[in-house]
Amino acid sequence: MIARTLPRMLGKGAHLSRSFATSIQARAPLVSSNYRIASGIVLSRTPQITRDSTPFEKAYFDYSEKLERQSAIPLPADFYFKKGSLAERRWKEDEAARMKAMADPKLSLSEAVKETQVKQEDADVTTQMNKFETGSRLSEADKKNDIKSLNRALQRTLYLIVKKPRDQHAWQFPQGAVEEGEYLHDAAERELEEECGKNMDVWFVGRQPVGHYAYKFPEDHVAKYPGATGAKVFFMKAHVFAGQCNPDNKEVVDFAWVTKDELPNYVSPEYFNAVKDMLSDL
Amino acid sequence: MALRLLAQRSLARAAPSHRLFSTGAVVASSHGLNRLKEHYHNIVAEDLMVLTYDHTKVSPPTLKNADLEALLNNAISEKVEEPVVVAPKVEEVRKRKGGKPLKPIQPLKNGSNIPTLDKITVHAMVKDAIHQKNHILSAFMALQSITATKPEVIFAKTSVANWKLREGMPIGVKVTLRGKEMYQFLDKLVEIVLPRLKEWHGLPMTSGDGNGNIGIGFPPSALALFPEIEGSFDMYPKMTGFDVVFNTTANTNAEGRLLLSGFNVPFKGAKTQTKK
Amino acid sequence: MSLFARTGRLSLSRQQLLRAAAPAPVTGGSGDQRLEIIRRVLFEQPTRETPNLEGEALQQHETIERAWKLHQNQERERRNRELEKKFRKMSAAMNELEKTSDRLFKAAIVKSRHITFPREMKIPTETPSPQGWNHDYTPPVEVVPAKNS
Repeated sequence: MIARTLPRMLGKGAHLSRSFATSIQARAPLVSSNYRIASGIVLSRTPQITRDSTPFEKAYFDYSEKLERQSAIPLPADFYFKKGSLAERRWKEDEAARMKAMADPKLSLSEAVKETQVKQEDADVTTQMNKFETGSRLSEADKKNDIKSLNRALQRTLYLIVKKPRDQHAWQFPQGAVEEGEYLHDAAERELEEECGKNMDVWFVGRQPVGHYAYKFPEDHVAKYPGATGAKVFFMKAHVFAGQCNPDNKEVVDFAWVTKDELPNYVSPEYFNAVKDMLSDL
Repeated sequence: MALRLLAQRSLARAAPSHRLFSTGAVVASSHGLNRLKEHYHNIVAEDLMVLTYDHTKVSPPTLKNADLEALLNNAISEKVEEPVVVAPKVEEVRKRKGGKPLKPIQPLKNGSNIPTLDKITVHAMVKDAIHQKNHILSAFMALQSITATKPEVIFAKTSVANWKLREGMPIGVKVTLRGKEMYQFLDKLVEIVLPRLKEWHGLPMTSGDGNGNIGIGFPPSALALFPEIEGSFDMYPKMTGFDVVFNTTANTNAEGRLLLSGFNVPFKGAKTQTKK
Repeated sequence: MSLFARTGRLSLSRQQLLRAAAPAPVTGGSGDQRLEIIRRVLFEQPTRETPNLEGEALQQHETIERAWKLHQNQERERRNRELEKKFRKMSAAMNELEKTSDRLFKAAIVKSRHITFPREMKIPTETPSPQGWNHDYTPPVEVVPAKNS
């Protein structure tokens, strides 16, 4: 049955691989024109916080703020605030600070208001009680440079790379062969679960590959596993929202979450050249 | 680059009386950045590009190599290029079932025409203004408070005797928001107003005008949920309902909904693809 | 000073509003009082004069504005270049898939009509949550409805 349906499924120019036909349980991997088809996963953790603004952006914003204030109509306080209310008092303090800041070229409006707001919060008892904590923009993982932590580099995109138990070309994106009767996105989900565990909340962005990479196996590998001279990997894009990677220690022995600029430190130069166009700089 | 340096240097040299800005202390923060705009450009746009990709409608690259490095390498290595023969186009008459008006031709996809938010229109029609002109003031003030821009008054274009409406009568107020104000308004909507709406679970998955624009109507009680109006709620004699229309550059309703969901606008009964 | 003398200096929307809401006859009732307050707020406001920059100050302002516009242009170009690179990479992958496997290609083109971004895809905030990333996530166990025997 397989012999009849495979050529239709694979399209023209496909060669059948029979080397795995002996094992009935394992489904045969898809091979086309002597290339094994694999699906890889570009799993990214999107930036968790807004990026730092450049000094020019900060300066321009402060400049525009003051310029707009110069030509703006003053706020009708008697309309927006009830006479003698706490909100009115606070606003009056903020306004006084802003008036001072307009005359002072070194102080921006936002900074002036921040100072008075801190004073107001310290004075008010209820805000002291209900104070909510905020995290710090520079996390512990940043300071320790823990490449396995997902709290690192909160402004950047982190990509998951895994280490295969071999010497050369060890680090790569998780990938695995597509089996017969499977589609690319199914194969990608399955491979990710097998290699990296189920404890990640992952969302695949559509069913299309975002990139591909074709490479030839080294000769000793072809001698050991005949049937394909190389592999074509089609990368699927995915995002992770929670969880952590648990390598299965069989196909994959180690993992890391790295940014695009750190990637060349791990993967081979040819691999990086093939994948760099899929990745985000920020 | 030179201009930027010039600007920075000229600012440094400026006389104190003309110096209207300051850089202040260098503290790591996103001061001066628009949160939703950054989110769109960094995260949403590329995912949107993947999800709205159509392989049958890919525009040919303007540059043979988008990668500048590859382009330069190709320029250095001398390759002979064969002239590309383009077959002449045959004009065809487009039709739509039922004689409905045609939709604009969808442009070919490339990295530069990803669906984006173009403008947000906030509009309130004040029926009471028919018998009492002043009532429009309340809506005008409310919309001005919410959007931080001066609204424009809408005058009736035709007369309808049933409603005692005469042409030229002021009947509504409208604000068109773009850029910074648009993103700030959307931020307020998504973070504060929409979560507080009573018994509202999201926009329906059928919303959209056919061209990727999505509108949502709010009852008068929604006006009180805005932080600017919450505090001075009693000063408004009449709360009006209003509608918000998101004009996007999306071509279809599905793309428009996808774009809005990227900004965390909730949709009722929305399906994401199988998550694991 | 009558309102009409001021009409020339008012913005278009203010003129429209003046046309729209002429002063009402004095009747009474709190609604009217509030409307009067709003009218006062909208019309009889002391305007701050737009400073007319001249000479060096004007040059400085213009330079700043041009520098900002240049910056915005460069940012837009950079973003478009990055997106175009990603787009071409995706297009090339789809072409390769088309040549490689018909079945897989057909599956890849299938689009879900009502797809939206998941709610977990949050907009980045200024500061992260104090708990940080949830490294201990486990997928929820699917409840299989019990069969009535």
